[in-house]
Amino acid sequence: VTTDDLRTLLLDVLSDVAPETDPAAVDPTEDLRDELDLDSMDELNMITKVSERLGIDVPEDDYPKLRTLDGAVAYLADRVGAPAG
Amino acid sequence: VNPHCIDGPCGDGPLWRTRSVVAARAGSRRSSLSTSELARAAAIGHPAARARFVAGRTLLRELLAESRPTLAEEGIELVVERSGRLRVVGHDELQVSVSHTHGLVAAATWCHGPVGIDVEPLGRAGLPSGETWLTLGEQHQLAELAADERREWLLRRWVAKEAVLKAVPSRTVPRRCIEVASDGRHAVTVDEAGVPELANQTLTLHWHVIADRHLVALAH
Repeated sequence: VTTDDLRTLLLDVLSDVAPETDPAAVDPTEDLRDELDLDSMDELNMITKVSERLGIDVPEDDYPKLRTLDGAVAYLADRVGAPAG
Repeated sequence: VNPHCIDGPCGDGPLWRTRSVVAARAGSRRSSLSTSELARAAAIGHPAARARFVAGRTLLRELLAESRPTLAEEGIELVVERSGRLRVVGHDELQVSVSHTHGLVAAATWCHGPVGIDVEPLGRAGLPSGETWLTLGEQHQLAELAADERREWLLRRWVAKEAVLKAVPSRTVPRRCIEVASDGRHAVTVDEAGVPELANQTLTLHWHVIADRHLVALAH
């Protein structure tokens, strides 16, 4: 799994949680809650789906680290040991 | 505008209010927001999220001004602390909370300790799997419910826990360590095994259903 794979996975999950999402339009540095109109339930659904697909547990204390696309990619890359690319 | 106002139990003004986002947007008085709030609103990319932010802050200012006649809406300075909690600058005795959902915002203020409010549509679907956010005791309760009782039961637990999370000072308690009493009137913090913590925090819960469409929980 590379960082590009993680970004694709996250956008796929976001498309599921927020079906109106246009993956190409997501600003990777913006707070996903503000950009995609996600609330806390959407956020937990997103993290649960990502956790299941990667087979990892994300503690609730770490949820704020996944609030931007870039932040989520960096956090997950660290957790699964993904190389860049 | 269709405000719902519940007076506080101590005769010290309104405790919480809700308002339709559509109505608030149509009648919003953005001038009551501070320069930093207007900048924050402008930076919010999604129009619905932006409208809810403006509606929430406007409603909170109205509620604070109504609760404390010495406060003018335009003079109220709100800051977001590192924990994510909102603070009224210069009025540490006033605790506040705002919740936004599709079509509705809710605001609460309380001068006797921390307060948290949450609102969700009663028909909200897509609740996360209970294993990730229910206590062990709640998971056992859920297993004993009939299938047609589970969705509303889960929604009530979710709304209560969100309100409690906003009210607990540290806001670092995992959802699966907040246990809502079976009667829904209180919530306590428990450890991962479901045992109440020695220094557990007990919060009182209040409930209100708005126009048969939204469920509001307030924790203090």
